[in-house]
Amino acid sequence: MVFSSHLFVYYFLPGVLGVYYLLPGKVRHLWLTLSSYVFYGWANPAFMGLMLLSTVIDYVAGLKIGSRQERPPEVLLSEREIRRRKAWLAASVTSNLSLLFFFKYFNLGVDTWTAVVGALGLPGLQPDFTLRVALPLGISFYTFQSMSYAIDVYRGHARPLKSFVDFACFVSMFPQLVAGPIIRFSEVADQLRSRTHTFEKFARGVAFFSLGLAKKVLLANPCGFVADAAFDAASRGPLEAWMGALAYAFQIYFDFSGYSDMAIGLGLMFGFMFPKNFDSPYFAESITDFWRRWHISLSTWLRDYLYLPLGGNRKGPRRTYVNLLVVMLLGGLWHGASWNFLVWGGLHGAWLALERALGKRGLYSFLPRPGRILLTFTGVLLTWVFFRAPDLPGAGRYLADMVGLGGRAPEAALLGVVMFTPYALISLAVAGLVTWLAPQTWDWSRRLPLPRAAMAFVCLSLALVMMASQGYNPFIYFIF
Amino acid sequence: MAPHDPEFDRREAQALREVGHTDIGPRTARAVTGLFLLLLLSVPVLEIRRDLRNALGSPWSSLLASGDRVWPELRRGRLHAANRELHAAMKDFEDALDETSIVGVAARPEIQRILTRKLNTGSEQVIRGRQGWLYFRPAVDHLTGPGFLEPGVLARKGHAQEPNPLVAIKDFAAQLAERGIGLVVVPTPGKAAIHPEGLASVSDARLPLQNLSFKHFLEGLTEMGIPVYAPAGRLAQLRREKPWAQFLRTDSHWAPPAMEAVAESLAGFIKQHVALPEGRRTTYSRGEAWVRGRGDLVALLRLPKGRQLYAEETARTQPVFREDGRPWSPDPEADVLVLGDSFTNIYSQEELGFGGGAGFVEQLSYYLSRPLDKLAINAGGPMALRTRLASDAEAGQDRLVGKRLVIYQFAERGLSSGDWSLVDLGAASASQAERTRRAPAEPPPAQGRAVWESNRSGDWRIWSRRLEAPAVRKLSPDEPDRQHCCAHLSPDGSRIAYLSRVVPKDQYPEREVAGELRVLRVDGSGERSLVAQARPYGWGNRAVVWRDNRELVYIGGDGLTYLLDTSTGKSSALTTDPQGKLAWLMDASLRHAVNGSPTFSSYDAASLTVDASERKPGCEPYFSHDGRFGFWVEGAGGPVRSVEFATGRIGTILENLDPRIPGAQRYVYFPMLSRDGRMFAFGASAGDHDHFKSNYDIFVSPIDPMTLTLLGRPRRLTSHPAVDRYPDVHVESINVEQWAKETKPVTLADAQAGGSPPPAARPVEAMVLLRSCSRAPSLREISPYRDALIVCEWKVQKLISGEAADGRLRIAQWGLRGGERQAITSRSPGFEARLKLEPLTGVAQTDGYPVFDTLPRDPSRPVYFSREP
Repeated sequence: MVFSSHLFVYYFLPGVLGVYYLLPGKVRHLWLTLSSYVFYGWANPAFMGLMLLSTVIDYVAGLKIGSRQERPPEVLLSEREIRRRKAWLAASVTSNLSLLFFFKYFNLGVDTWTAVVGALGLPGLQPDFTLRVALPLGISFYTFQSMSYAIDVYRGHARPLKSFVDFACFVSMFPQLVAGPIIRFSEVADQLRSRTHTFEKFARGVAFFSLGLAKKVLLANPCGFVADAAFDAASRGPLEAWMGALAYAFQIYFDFSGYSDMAIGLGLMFGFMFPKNFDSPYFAESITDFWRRWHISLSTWLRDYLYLPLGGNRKGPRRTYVNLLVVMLLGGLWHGASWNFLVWGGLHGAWLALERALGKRGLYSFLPRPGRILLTFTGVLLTWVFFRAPDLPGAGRYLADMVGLGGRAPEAALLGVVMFTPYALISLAVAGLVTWLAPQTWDWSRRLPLPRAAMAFVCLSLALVMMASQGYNPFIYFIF
Repeated sequence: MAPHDPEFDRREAQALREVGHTDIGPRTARAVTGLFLLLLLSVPVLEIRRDLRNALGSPWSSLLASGDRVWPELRRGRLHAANRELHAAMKDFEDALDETSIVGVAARPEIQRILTRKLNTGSEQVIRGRQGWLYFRPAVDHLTGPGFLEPGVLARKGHAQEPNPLVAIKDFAAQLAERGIGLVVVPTPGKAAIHPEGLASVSDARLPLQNLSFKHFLEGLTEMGIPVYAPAGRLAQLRREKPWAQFLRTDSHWAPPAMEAVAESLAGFIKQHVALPEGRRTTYSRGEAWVRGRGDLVALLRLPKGRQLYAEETARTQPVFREDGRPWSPDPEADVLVLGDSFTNIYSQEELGFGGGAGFVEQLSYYLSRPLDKLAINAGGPMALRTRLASDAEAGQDRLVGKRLVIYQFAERGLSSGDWSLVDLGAASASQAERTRRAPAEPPPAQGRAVWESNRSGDWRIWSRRLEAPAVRKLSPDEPDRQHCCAHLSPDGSRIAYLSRVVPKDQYPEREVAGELRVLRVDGSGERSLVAQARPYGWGNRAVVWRDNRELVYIGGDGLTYLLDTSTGKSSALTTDPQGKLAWLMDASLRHAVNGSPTFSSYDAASLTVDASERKPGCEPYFSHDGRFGFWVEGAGGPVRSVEFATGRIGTILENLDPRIPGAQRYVYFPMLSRDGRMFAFGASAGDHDHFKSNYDIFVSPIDPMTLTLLGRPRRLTSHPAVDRYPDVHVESINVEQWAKETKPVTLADAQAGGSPPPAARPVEAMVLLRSCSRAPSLREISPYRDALIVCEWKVQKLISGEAADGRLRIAQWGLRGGERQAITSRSPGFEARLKLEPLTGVAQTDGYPVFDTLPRDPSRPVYFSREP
């Protein structure tokens, strides 16, 4: 079930909201948890068991790690106690990573092994089974979320939750379950214990949801149509190639930030306040700046749970560069089990390391701000080619087409009519205007006088009408 | 709790700061909240209201009904299968919800109109080109997309299906070769390959445009020794030489002259490359016809009705005629079978909008001067044809019997996007069928006749075939502007009653329209009018119940129900209150009544009143003719339920997606029971739901008249791409064992489990004491039969061998044998006997006889039969 679907908007959401507000406070988390499992199980009922397993493991681990936390801080832990806590933390992290690696990387591992031993002329070592593992929806998000809980409790940043229902509610909460933002336990721990429900919050949530849905349906989907035409083609001219990459840059931004806006809006409707996930990323003046603005919940997660434990920048410049590269490579792999994502992460890591070497300044910091923004955007756009292309050779061909080095088959002449329809061009133009001229949802919805509220409803209504007439409705981050 | 990490403080504090305080007035906040909820709730309220009024069910009822498929799997502990069933049901539900969304239904055409008219843009399926050209996007994507044989592309297609068309075609060719049948492959290009000028300027010399892998594909087939004729070259040549377009501008298919030229060229190719036996040579002639129609791409734009932006197109076709002057038709006996898609069906199948009788196979037949058999499925993709061949063979209709050559035409775009999974054509069973065909014929498992209504000729007419022979014929006459429906066979199977009405061809009329009730003999002769004004019962085409060979129940145009004596023409009213949309139809016993919704009610013939019962969900109800059962379609496309009137017990005749039905049929409708209750007929569609457009075919299966449980797998009686629906069936003889043997597995549980049938009840010998007997049927009730069985319940006094649950046995006795009434009432309760009993279903001479079992308790208990009087 996706947010931009008839079933979710007209049946699931009103149903869940209605019952939620009819129930007394104590059972609301139970209802939210059950609803979230239905939401999650809609993609494949079998996956519910997997999420429940991950939840149970981390719940128990959290209790075991934090069982002695009540004692005064001056009481030091015994060696045995420390070992016990470490063992439970290891159990939590290992189980989550095992789930993640098995479901996400098994196929890649088997394919790579098969290809390598085949290339080495050792077909006898090729696996003789044909098992393919289906990727459970949102596993990258909820395992990270669940893991952060055990780590936070271990670090003393959070107290373990005694109520299993509250914890299950935190892990499974449907607004952010399958595509983020990745909510860390510390960020909602207080809200799980107590939060307010006001018309003010709900109305703000409606504004977030409306703008998020509009971003998704009115901008991301038409841009995606253009991007698909360009990336799915065998060859294309430079104009089509650049237009396709631009369309994809807009698609992924509006798709993901739209989803995040909807998640934040839905959270508000249930009284939760989630942190910001996007901060006008295409305004970034350097790649370092970009990663402060793009998918903030992932970048801060990787920073706090990977980069800093690796030593961060405390072990000298060379180690810092290595750490940045490692973190971005793993960040790339987090997105999917393919060499494309590894290259994409590696490019970003190398770029970040280079800027770090220059003192966190862009390579082109001497340029005026619009120039810095333009060059950063162009660099990001080029790396998106690896993100979107079906495989590495495909990405190579695409980049070659962008600079006019690819051979152009006569069939590629047909692409223009598919890509450059007036509707597509208008959508791309509006997407550009919204990206660089319109305020972001957070700022715009902070003040909601009647005209803005009305504008939010216009966006919502337009989005709902278009949603009903579109068959093309993918959510990019659902597959991660 | 106070987090210790300043970063956490910052992010949560930031969130609190940023969204924790919104500058909004309390009234505005309330108004926004209220309006949002109102907007979201109004749509489901309106949709649920609409669905409750829809007799054909709703997505919700289908979702709820899916429990019938999921629970059995769960009970068997097959979690994976249960999950798969549930997942599929949820997906179908969501698709149906989207498709029937009131917002979508209202918005889609208008949005498309704006996109097309104001923004000069097509749709997700249609590309709007220059100078009025429309293109099918998947066909263009095939040309611009990556090579379909590239390793990366094949790998991305996944492991669930065979991605490589070369592998699939090689496998298909090998299976055919095992049976001595050759194969010619005909991949047909899309419009953009030949006429790209509506999209871009491409030099004529570079035509035809092709997918990067197409050349390798042709080379691959040639290397494998499989003859391939690619029409793209010939079409590109015509494009260069002829001034006219080789494709229709607003349709995705070729123009008639191009199609005819390709047929001529293919005929030459076959003569040159394929060694066919001389066979039957026939001379065909061609006429000329001008056809006018709206292109399929215009329909795909889904513009508002009456606001089309594209005019109809006119084309000159050349219909083909046989030597006797009759229109060309496929010949099942021909040694060449053409498999095709809509490129084959256009100009042949009138439903495609450009006339009939002049399609690709007709032209090929003309140029080859030999009869051809044809199997063409529109938009089914390359796998659908092979799947149909396999399912037909499985159902006992092997289309490959007697064939020497198969011509496999499919759209080139299918090479990129089609499912090329390997299909087992059932070579072993087919070989068996071939041997059977050549060996002295065994008696068929069933003999009799089926009739149904079909729009295969363009208008709705009554069609018929024998159960044991494949020939299909149109029975009711052609007459302008009138549509025929509601065919019902008389109890002796000699006559058919049907309605002839002036109604729309493409939808059920909003209000029931009356028309002429007619009767004709099953050979098509002797037609006469019975009543000037008669109508169906509403929400479905059932209008008549034959009471016996002389009398029938019908609904008059005035909404009253009548009993008509067909020999005298005299009618007497059975009701006194005229009904509106839903009118009453009584069963043969005149004890039960039903209208177009499943409101199985009691009828009192003395007072002429119906005691209306509560309506069950669903539609298309009807009765068994012994007055014991009602049956109907409960949800959208199934299941088919039965109700036993004596006990109120609900049974299931067919499940949703019943695995016993060949060909993964998604929608089951139009249930009907033969007069003797031994054969069950229905229509089913593997594609869409629409009763006027989807490819519904007629199926029949033997059924246990005592329990309404299917006794074998259904067999397909029709396989025409048009709609075949509302069947009736008459059985002359049936050999259930032979049927079941040929179409195992025989029970639903077996079909689902894929195992063997459960052991039947075993023989019993006991000293028994008669407790009670079923109500003795009246002569009228049993008059249609020569034989009937009555069930009595006996108490076991001493069990000598076998088992008897609860010490009771239900034993059938002859009530009617050879037309003679038996003395079943001569034994009063308390009568004692020592009986050797066999399970009724295991006694060959009693299989399928109508059984009168009106005892109230345990109707599911096995019934036994005593051979001794």
